[in-house]
Amino acid sequence: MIDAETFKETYLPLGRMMFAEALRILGDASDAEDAVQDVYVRLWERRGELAQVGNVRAYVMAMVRNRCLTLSGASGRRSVGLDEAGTEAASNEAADSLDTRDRVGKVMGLIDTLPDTQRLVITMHDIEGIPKEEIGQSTGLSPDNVRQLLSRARRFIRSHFSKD
Amino acid sequence: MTNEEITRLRTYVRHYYDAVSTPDEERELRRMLLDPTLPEEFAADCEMLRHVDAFLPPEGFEERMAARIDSLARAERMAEAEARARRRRTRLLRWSAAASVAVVVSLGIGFAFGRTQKPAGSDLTPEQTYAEVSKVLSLMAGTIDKGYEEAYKAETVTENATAQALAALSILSTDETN
Repeated sequence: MIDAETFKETYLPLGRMMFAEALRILGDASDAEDAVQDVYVRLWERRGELAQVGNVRAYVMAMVRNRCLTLSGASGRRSVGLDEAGTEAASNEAADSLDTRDRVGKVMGLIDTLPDTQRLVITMHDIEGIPKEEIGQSTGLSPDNVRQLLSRARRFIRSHFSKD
Repeated sequence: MTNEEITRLRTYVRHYYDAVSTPDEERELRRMLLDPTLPEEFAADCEMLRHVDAFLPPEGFEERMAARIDSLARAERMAEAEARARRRRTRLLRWSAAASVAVVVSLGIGFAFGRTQKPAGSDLTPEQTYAEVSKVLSLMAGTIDKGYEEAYKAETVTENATAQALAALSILSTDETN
């Protein structure tokens, strides 16, 4: 059974990817963090079985998706009480949450219109934080190919923020 | 923003869209794009990165996840220590019970075989001897109970000290990561 240090070394680097996926589904940073934390708890409890998992990344992402779907389905989204909604802190938080939701929705909308390989590369690199070398290894693309696809995808997205 | 900074920013922006920038360059690019005197020509880049960076985990995210894992590990260690102590206590109780039974059986046998004889050099009848032995046994039992209580107290103190030490270590490690 692995200890806490080894567990952290193995699974904490996947945190950004897990968070991005949770945010994409839930649209709220605080909910996404809670979901990722829940997944870490489950991973810790199941750490004895994880050695048999072939693709850890895919396994973890499936856990995140399941957790997020459970959370979004079970609560029917949190409703904000009138008293709570009236406070300044609550309204700032709600505004931040809306802003994040808008930004996430806009970027995902743009990424979805990209050709498959560009979509894959920019999602892995800019959204999930996976280094270019690792993207090359897991997709079979050459380093130069990865770079070109990422470059094209970034330029495409940038064009939608330009006022020209 | 100075002309020199603007030139440097243009290089970082070009590298970013060519997907050749280093992590340091990307950090510097993000920092410079937050400058309140940022020229208009970078507005679209600033807006794009603001959107893409919405996917980044909030500040302190990794530390919070690490702390959660540490607390899970700590709780597990404490539960294991408690289970070990419980096993030790059960073992001790079983041994005490077995020893008491052995003493009672030996005394019973001794009493059954020697009840007709008066112990040499003693004026006590067998009944008086039995009463005396019972007194001694209950004294012994009391002493064993007391000893056991002391051992339990000592064990509890050790466990608490261990738990405090573990908690202190985890605070230290959290401080270090911060």
